Amino acid sequence: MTHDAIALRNIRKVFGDVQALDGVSFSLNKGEIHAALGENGAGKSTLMNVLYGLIRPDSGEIVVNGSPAVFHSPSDAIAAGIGMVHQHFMLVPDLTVAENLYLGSRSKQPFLFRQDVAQRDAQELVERYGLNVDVTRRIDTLPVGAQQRVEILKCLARDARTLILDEPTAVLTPQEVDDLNVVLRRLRESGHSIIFISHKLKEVLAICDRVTVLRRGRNVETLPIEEVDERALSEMMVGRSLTTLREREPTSLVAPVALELRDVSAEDARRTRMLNGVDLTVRGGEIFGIAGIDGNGQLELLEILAGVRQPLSGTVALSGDEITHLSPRERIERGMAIITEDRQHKGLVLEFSVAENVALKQFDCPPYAKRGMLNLRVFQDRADNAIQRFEIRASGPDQPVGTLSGGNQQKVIVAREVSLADRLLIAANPTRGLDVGAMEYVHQTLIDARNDGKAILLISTELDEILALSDRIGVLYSGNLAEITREDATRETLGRWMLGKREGDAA
Amino acid sequence: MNRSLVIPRLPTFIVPFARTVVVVFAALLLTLGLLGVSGYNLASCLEALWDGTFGSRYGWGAVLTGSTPLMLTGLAVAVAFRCGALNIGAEGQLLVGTLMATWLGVSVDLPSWVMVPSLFACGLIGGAVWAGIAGGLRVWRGVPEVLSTILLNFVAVELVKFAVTGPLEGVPGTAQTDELPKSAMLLMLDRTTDLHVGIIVAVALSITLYVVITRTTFGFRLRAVGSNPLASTYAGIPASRSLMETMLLSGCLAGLAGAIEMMGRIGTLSQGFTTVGYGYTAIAVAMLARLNPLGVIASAVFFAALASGSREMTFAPNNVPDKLVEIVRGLVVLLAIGYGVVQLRSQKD
Repeated sequence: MTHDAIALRNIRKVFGDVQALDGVSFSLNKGEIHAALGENGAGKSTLMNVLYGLIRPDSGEIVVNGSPAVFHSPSDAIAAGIGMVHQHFMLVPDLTVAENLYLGSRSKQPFLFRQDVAQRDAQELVERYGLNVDVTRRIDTLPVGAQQRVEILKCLARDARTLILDEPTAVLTPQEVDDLNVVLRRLRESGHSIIFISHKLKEVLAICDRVTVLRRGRNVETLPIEEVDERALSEMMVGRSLTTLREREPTSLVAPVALELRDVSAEDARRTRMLNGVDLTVRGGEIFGIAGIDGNGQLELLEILAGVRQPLSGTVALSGDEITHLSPRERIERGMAIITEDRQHKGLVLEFSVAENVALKQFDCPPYAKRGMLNLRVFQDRADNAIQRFEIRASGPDQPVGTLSGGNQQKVIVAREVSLADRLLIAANPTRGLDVGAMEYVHQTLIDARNDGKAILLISTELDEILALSDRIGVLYSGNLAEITREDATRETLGRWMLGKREGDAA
Repeated sequence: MNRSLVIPRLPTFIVPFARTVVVVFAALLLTLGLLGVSGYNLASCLEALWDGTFGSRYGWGAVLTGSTPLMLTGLAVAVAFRCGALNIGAEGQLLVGTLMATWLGVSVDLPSWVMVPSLFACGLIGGAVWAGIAGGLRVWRGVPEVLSTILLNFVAVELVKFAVTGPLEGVPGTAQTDELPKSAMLLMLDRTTDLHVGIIVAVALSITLYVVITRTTFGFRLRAVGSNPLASTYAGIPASRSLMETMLLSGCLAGLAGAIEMMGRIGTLSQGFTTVGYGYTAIAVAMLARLNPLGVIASAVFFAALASGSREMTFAPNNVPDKLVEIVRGLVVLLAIGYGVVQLRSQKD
């Protein structure tokens, strides 16, 4: 049995009247990659923040290399050889990689900053660990995957032997995820130990040696990775067996066309073609899924659909009426609903309550308002309804939405849009950042809406989501949309199409 | 900044209110401390403080009259801040509103049922136009209104100075306008003091604005845009238009404040009016009231009482020097704003 590098024993932590951690234990062996898996709110981030010295536990102990340790702050944790890469990076965008590494370094810093010394030190780090990145470039010019490597280098620069990665793959493209896996394996080989906080089952299964599942602040189980599969892990995370999605009833080909785009093109501020003559139709009672890696025109497509951007050319029609130049308001009035990809900035007003957000798109129409005066009773009732129907975990309709977890925030948006959708519901990355339970919920909602006869346009970067839900599938690459038949739509083929490689197909 | 329309249930409402009362008492204690240390007779000072505020008819009159412009400008600032516009230009908007009202007042003489509403309208329009400049710059050119409104304040001051020494000068060499005709002056509520009908207008507007901000679709719209313009746009709310409306509303209130002060108390516009600074005190008033229009009523009264009470102390027999009184007022404002900032920041967590 390998010696424990780090052990957390019986950790308890209370925040207000929430028991975030209820006697949780976690042990990390030397040279292993160990996942802390759980839904949002399960306590995995809190637990790791305790390990990193950001939070003092109410009780319990931390043991490092056999001896007990107390961390008053991250400095203590760092001194004990623990480094953490957070979900939201802590890098200075205007400075270069070398400068950022210099900022974090503990080495004897001369009073004057010397660019050449900083670069030389940074380059040495890069070579020693094989984490490829150009040290002379500014952070804000680097892709996210490279920024993450810089964060890892920061930890290594301070001689971390144990690395904690918080949701590292949330912001990476599939390619970058593969690159990260290579990096992690290499680190493991050189004797580092890694804690991998995640709720993404596939990645945990692909990269980790052991997994500890947490649920509602408690341990569920700790198992070697060979002994589990996706289904088992999901059930452990959620605490119940997951229901399969209700059967998709066959689509009717005579259903009316709800959305039609003809030859839509768009440019960004630098005159780059972001959308290139896109044609698309969605009928009632079907889900049309558009797969694609972020940055291939999805943003522009959504903006055009929402009415926030004018296309360079082409038309958009809703149930046969042209709406290309209509404002967002007019589209909402015609029953177009959009679940945006950016819930915090585009979907919700975080300071407002659940009730105010549920009413956000219809607050000046009856029954929410009459003759300019709001009917607060209706606000409350509608919100109560949404909370119940969608099982939103909130203390009540008056709770500010900004204090809800990501999954519950998304449920507020879903509740709002589903009841708003008359004929068309557009869902953009609707389950981004959501845990398994919430994801299942959203998917079921979309399927129910489809069975109800609504047309659904699903735009997502998650292949599994597209494959599970769509009746028809298209791939967006470099501004071009191409439809693929359901039979041909395997993960491999879709993956290739998403990278622009469409061999053997008519253009 | 809590822009939600949620009205906290009584228990949750009491605590922040009680904390505000604590600030007020702390301010008073500070005052007494300063006076005691400087060797003044505390009992006598306290008596003066009381006489100048709520202990005499004269005091009541002074406090209520003084709170009128503070209440209206405080409303202007509170509404603007609450709806996402950092309007630091209440002073300039007040001055321009006053200028317009005065100009009309000394130029024509009509029966009071025409004059009074017309001068009110001038105040509203003057203030709105001035705020509209900053609003337009923000909406069409992205100029932060924090900057443009302050700069416009300086322009407004010069505008007033120019007017009262030039085109609107009454008796040559006095640097002040003619007096407003009787028909333009507001009804006096108490002839022995300065108390005029304006206080009723101010309180009524505070209550009205509270209802508007928290219970109308108009208020909802302004608050939504103030909190998240992007999400509001996606939700079909016209963001630029709403921001402009916020600025205009704010400017109207400030301009009206000036017109009412002119028509109720002063009666003539002079250079001295540019140094009073209601528009700046209004920021402290709004912060102490935590941007709540109803709270502004109490906050304005507090600040007016502070001014009146401390002024009373400068008279015999205490003869507390003006400068000491200024220090006291400054410290109280610091406490009020500082506490307001602390409260708003803790609400964010």
